[in-house]
Amino acid sequence: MSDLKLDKDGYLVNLSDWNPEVAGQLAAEDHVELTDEHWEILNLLREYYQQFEHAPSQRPFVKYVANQLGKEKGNSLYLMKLFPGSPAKLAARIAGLPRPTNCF
Amino acid sequence: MSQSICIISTQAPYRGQFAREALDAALVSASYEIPTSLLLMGDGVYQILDGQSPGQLEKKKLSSLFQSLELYGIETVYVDGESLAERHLDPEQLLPLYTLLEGDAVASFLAQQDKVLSF
Amino acid sequence: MATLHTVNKAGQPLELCLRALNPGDSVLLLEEGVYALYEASDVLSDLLRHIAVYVLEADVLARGMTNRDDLDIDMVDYQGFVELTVANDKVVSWF
Repeated sequence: MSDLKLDKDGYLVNLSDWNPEVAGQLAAEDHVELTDEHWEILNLLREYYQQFEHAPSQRPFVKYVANQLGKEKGNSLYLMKLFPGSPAKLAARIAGLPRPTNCF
Repeated sequence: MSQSICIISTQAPYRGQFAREALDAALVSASYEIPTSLLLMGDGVYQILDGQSPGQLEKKKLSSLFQSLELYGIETVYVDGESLAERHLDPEQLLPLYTLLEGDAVASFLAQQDKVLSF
Repeated sequence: MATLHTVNKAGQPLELCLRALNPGDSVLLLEEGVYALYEASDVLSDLLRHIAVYVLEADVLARGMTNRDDLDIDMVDYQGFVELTVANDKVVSWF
């Protein structure tokens, strides 16, 4: 386990510190065990960040997943099951992105 | 039905944080499912000039935020046609995500809004 | 839906405000907008034909300006500013 530099909200300070292992470590802290279903969403979220340069809040997160993977996965319930609590925030943390700025 | 908000953005991009803050305000408001619109006027129309590469200024591209608006439920950006014309901007130079408001349309559009915030 | 428009500078803020006015709206000149009393007096006298225009006393005095006697512009204090805000459905600031 490496010592990760996290900000006060628990998000990676240096986005370049991220790799799949780090993701596993961050997920474990939140009691999430990463499966293929998680990875599908995490990869999408990283694509979102590449394209739009910010981590999305819940609404665009759901819509983006729906656009890319269809409605069965692009809905709050499904995402909530994978990333309990606040999916947009938790998934961003595990994906190594900054805290969603438009999400309180 | 919650009250509608219009965000007016009148400053050129990279002039302080105005443009960025206007977009952030729009994204936050839309995240709360408030009917939100964004109106560019004056130098604000320069914000949707295509091909901005602010890397050397160490700033993020505004276009990335503009392009994400749709995912937040903001389907179009309103642009004051007169401001475009004054600046001799050709529609082809702009990100194709706006709707022109010509002449009196700006005033009547604003009259319909419950709240207006300017940046 | 009447709107109070505050204008803090002649130039772009005043120009954009003019485009956004509807009958029944009011305009309040404040901060550097008070210079419009002289700088943009033609525009203001045109505007006064159908829109009420006010100017904020504190900003006029601070800058050594005076209200124009030849234009029908009311000078308001902060209390008047608040009253204008209350009298309108919304406030739009132009800067």
